[in-house]
Amino acid sequence: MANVKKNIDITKPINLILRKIKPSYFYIILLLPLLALIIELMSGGLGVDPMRKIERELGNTGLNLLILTLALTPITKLTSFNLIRYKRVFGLISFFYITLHFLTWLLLDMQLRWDEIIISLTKKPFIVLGMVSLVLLVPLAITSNNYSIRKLNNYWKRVHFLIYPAAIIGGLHYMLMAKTIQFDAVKTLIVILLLITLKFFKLKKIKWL
Amino acid sequence: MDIKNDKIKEAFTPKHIYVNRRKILQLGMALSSLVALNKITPAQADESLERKINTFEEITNYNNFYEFGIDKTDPAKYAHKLTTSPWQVEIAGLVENPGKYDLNELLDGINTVDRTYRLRCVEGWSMLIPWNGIQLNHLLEKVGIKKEAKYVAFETLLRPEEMHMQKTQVMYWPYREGLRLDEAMHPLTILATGLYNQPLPKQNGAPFRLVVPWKYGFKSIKSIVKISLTEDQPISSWSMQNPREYGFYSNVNPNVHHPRWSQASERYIGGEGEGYLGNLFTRRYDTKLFNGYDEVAYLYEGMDLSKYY
Repeated sequence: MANVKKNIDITKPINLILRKIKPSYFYIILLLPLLALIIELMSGGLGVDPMRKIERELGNTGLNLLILTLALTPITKLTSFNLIRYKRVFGLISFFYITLHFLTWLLLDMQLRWDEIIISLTKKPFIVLGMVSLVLLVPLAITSNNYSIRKLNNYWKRVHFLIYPAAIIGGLHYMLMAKTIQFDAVKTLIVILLLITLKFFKLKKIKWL
Repeated sequence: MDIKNDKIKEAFTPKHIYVNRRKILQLGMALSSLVALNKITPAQADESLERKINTFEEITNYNNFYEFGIDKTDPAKYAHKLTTSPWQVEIAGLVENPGKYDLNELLDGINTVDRTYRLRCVEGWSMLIPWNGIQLNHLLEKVGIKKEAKYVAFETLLRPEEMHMQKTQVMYWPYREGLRLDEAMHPLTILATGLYNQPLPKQNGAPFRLVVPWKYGFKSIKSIVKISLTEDQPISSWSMQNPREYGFYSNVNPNVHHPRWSQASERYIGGEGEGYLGNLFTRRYDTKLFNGYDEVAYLYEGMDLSKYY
């Protein structure tokens, strides 16, 4: 331990700063991509088919935030920066974007053509995967509050383990959507699998130079 | 032949509309630059479907042309790098007059046609596009078809220094497509050299491309450099990529489901309302067999279209 003290430890000052950044700030910050999207729509920046752009962008943002949520625990373990308390807001806003993504598909894309929606939800693999991922996230969103943590006790962790299958399935949904193999989708899936693999390792704090 | 042509023309674009449009466009061209022309939104409706003809802006900024990128806005960004003049076309295989032709020489003496066709993409969207070009059958007759010929194969230019995606493995290059000879000879099948009475924009497949309105859009191969007549069924790029999803025929058919999209309906690009917000609310139409071009149905009589998709 004496060894550690000799090194410059940036953990303390960073955590002091982090203490001032309340998780609630992120309920505003993380909505900025949505605001940017709306501004782009109004200015014509979304091009000839704005619906598709919005649908994609909402899905992307939702999945990226889900990945960030997954990343907060290993980063905390590796750095001792106290990021765990941001997990809830990241997870909830991720769910918000994914829900908007689903609603865009249902209302603006499929236009409530139920017969086709049912075919899609039963026969089209990438849509089935997307739907499964969203459904898995619903109990997480519902129980992302102090009351549920208290009430569910030991079960809470089990429920929230669902984020892992939800993320993998979400990544597959993204990959199977395209007509060809797309680099972005593969990258996303690799990052998800990497973060999940980290869960099985005992992570030690990095010693700063 | 002329009577037949006019009949076809009128079946898809009522005469008063295309004559009118031509007048408007001529006036537009006389008065204005390309930029100003873009703003002319055809108010005329395609009466058979009550769809507006897509604007020049829509048609030239929403393209699948993987040689320039996989995003639909990529072709408009990168296609300017393509050199389209001079343009040589190789006519090969079972033809009387094979050889490499300059495009102008090849098209010389062939009647031009104006056709406003629905374009149905396999991804589930559609447009209505006013093409100018020639009938493919006129070109094939000009180069002479040998008796043994049963199919027509097409190839897109392979020039990675101008088509940067050809440096990647995203598809098998060059892009290839094919038709059965009777499909190619059908008067609805055209080689487009222009749209809105302007030379074909590069992102739309300049200097000339195939348009087969009753098949999914990817069959209508762009920037063609080789046309060969063959005895065996040619390979098409998307079939090579994924034979289960993309068959040789790829006729528009709402009853044959694509594994990833519903083919029962299509979203018509170019929204209901005005402006950018208007474009957000696109309308879905029921997709019709052969994209509504029923006059080609006889080509497939007795064929199981769910097997030969």
